[in-house]
Amino acid sequence: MTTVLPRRSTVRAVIPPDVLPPWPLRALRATRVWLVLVASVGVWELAVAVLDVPNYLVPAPSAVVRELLVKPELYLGALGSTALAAVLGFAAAVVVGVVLGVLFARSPLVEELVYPFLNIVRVTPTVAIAPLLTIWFGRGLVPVVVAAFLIAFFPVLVQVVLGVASADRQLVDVLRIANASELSVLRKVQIPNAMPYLFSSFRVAAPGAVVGALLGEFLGASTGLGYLITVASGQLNTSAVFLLAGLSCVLGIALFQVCVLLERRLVRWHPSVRL
Amino acid sequence: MPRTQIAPAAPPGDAATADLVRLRDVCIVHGRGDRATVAVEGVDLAIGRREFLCVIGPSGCGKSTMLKAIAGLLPAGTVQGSITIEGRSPEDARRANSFAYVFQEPVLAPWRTALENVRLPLEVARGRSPEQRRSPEELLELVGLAGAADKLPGQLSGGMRQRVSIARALTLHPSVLLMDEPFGALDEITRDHMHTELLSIWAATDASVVMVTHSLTEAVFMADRVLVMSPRPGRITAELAVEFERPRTHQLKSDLAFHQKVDELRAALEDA
Ligand SMILES: Nc1ncnc2c1ncn2[C@@H]1O[C@H](COP(=O)(O)OP(=O)(O)OP(=O)(O)O)[C@@H](O)[C@H]1O
Ligand SMILES: [Mg+2]
Repeated sequence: MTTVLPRRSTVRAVIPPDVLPPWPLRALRATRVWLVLVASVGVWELAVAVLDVPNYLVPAPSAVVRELLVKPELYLGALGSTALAAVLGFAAAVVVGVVLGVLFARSPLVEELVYPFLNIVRVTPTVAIAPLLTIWFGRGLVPVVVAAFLIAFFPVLVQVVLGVASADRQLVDVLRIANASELSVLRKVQIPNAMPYLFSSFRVAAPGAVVGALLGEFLGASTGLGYLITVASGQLNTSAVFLLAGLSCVLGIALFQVCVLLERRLVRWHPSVRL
Repeated sequence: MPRTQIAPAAPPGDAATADLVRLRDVCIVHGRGDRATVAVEGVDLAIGRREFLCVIGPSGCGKSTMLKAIAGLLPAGTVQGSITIEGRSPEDARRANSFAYVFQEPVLAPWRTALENVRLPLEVARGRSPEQRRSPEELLELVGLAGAADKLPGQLSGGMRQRVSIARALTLHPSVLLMDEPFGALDEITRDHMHTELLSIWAATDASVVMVTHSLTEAVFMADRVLVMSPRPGRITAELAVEFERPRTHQLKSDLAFHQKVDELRAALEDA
């Protein structure tokens, strides 16, 4: 057999230079989302003025901002108390969800005996339960926190169960062969494996906690964004309703972003982080 | 050339205290009642210290099942007969960290770096004294991955990952290394490379190796002794001694004697 030499080209590859786009383009790219936002607010302001829409139907953005500037401590205080309730409810949901999730994933008996009852609570709309919360816990912070908890809890529980149970069985066997304790199996394999699942549940649970807190305040509280919404809509103060809705939205996005940031830092190994 | 050494697997003499692993009349049944599967039947086997044993047989004949039984990974009640490792039951042997296991896939924790993966058994084991624990850094060097210590499994090639898993298996200084088709997922070039690498690693430790494989040449190249299993229920139908000189190099694979050995093994497998 003869070996045929391949024809060899002497061409060298050209390394493409690292080009930075000119700064105006970079500035545009960095700010374009905000530009769109500002532009739409401008169009909104203009449309309200030109079409002469009455304030109680759709207020102009300037009217909404004015509302905030007139009574900033009222609105920011309400934002603070809703934020507190949402964060507390969310934290409780994470703690209880993780503990129960680990228990369920590791003990089929607990799952069999407890899960059906939790499911009943889950499918009952929180709106239907919320009046009970005021009856049981009064009109303070507690029923609001519980409402936030109820909405945030189930996504966490479901994902933790999935995350613990889906740990690589062979990796668990590697640990068992090394004579690891059950606690080590949990700490070294099952919990780390559940982390991406936990964080993906936060993407649902964190905004959910804000919705739950608003709902709790809506149905029986004397502070918070949800409470102020009932008051403002009763007075046909549409600017205030818009403002309160906007503040709720900011709160939800803020909580969501904190979770995404944590996820990026803590589960950098997982492909979902690149999404 | 006369056919040598193909003899029905006869249980060796009973004074088997020198044997590291001993299986007596082992039968393994998965499931019960109508859904029961007899995976392994009537296996009698002794593995000596520092022996390199290969097990070969058709797919589904019970090779992995036998390996798992030695490692005590099967549910209680599945294994009949007796299995001892260094005179102990598989459970006690596991408590003493007497053996390690390498799966067909690398089975690494994706959130741990190569070095942290190698260190994992050290963090959880309770059975080995400090002198019997090996440094993860040295083991990574042994498998040629000192430079990749801080990489995550996702950043390593398939062959590198499998080398990490072999290094991990060696951390607790096992007396027996159980390997279930460890190179099955690798390409031929990496495989060849891993063969000589595993042989030199094995020479540098004092472990016995039981390696399941689907490759005839791999079995002949690596082993002191090759066991042939029949289709399910798996029985050991032949045993072939391979007495080529060590250290073995890839040169051996072009020897006539090597090819004859492979042919002998193929014939034994067809008779099984
Ligand atoms: N957990 C289980 N439950 C029931 N049957 C099983 C179980 N594990 C394996 N088996 C059956 O036992 C038999 C032997 O399986 P085993 O995995 O040991 O084969 P193998 O020789 O390793 O095959 P391969 O070479 O394809 O890996 C198969 O018929 C399989 O279906
Ligand atoms: Mg197998």
